Amino acid sequence: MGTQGEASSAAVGTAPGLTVSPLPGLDGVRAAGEIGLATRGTWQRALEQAVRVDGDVHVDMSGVSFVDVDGARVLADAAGRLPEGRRLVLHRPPATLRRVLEMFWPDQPAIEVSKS
Amino acid sequence: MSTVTEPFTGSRPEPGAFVHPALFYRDDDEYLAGTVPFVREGLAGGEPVAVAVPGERLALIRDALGADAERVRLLDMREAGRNPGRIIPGVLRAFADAQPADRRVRIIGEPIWAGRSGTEYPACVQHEALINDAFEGRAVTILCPYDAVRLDAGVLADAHATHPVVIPAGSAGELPSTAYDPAGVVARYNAPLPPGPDAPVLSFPFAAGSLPDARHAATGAAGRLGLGGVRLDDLALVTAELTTNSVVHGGGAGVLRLWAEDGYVVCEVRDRGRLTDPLAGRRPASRDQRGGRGLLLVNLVCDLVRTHTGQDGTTVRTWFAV
Repeated sequence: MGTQGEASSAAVGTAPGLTVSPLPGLDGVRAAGEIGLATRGTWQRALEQAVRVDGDVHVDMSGVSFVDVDGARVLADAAGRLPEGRRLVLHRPPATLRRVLEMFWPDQPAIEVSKS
Repeated sequence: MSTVTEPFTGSRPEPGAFVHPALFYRDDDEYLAGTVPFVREGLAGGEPVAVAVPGERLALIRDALGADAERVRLLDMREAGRNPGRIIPGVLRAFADAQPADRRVRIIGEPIWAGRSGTEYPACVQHEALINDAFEGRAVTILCPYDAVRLDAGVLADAHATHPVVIPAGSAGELPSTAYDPAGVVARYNAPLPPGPDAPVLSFPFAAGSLPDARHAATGAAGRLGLGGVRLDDLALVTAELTTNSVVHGGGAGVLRLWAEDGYVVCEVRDRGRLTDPLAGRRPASRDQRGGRGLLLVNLVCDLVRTHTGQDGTTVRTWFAV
């Protein structure tokens, strides 16, 4: 992804502990921080806005250190609202998010975990 | 037994009725006589069959079934059911819910064996009691073998309270249990947990604003006690779900405590709330339901979960093998 060192521009959502900003060069967002009770609203609004594009939606999570179960549920809900054939592509999600997605949404076709 | 009615293998349950007999056995022959015909009759009737029992007993059944073993879902209960709270969502309903709706499902489930510790047992017997509510009105038969020689008399007595019907040792017939009282078992074992250490490694009062701090404190302390990798991630998730539950449902605050005990990291969350749903955390989650996954995750990933809830609050204690 090569997002390190790039200045974050025009934050689309900020809460103590979580910053979500547009993703340069791709449709989607970059999130940094932690996703839990205090930051779930910010995360949810950012994803609802991000999925209003025509193609795949990318979420750079390289700066996210933790996602709780409800944060994963918000992500699965957003992916579930995408029209068929479109995907929500997660880049470098934290291990806790991969664990929860495998546990509760193993067959959600609209979520893809990118290798990069 | 002079009062034996019809052999249980020949009984015909009501189409939608849940059937939950306890089978008492004294040796391998009685074990196989009680389990293998149950499996074969299911297979002959086109019913899906699963066997979840301790590994050495699983081997006995597998050998006796021969080639038919391939048509049965075989699970080592020591692994799949290590945490008793995981057995309903992760073993029994995981299997039953995946089968065609028009077939009765047969499962042999042996969650209580002689090696279960005194710490585990209350969770085991509560699990057995709660199966009855969890499967009420479903065309499922769950046969639960009990080792009548090696299990304590109290355990065997409890099995009469958690099962509506029993098959006495050496018998082929089932009898109604006159001691059947699953709600009484759940209540009786909802007792205060044994005290933890006076000075735990971590004692952390938390509220809404300090949820991330509580989680970081827990993972830091657990890491220093030797927990790592996926298990440390699991502890982070469990801590987050339990502390968030306290903030949202349990009075807005709580205390997180963590210590080492007999090869485990023990992590406990205490709050002022009261858990009113005994099946909380034991129902599988449907893909689209909004909430209700937090306690389920706790049950699925922990090696043991013990709960005490009452007017003074709720304590959930979780164990992670190091």
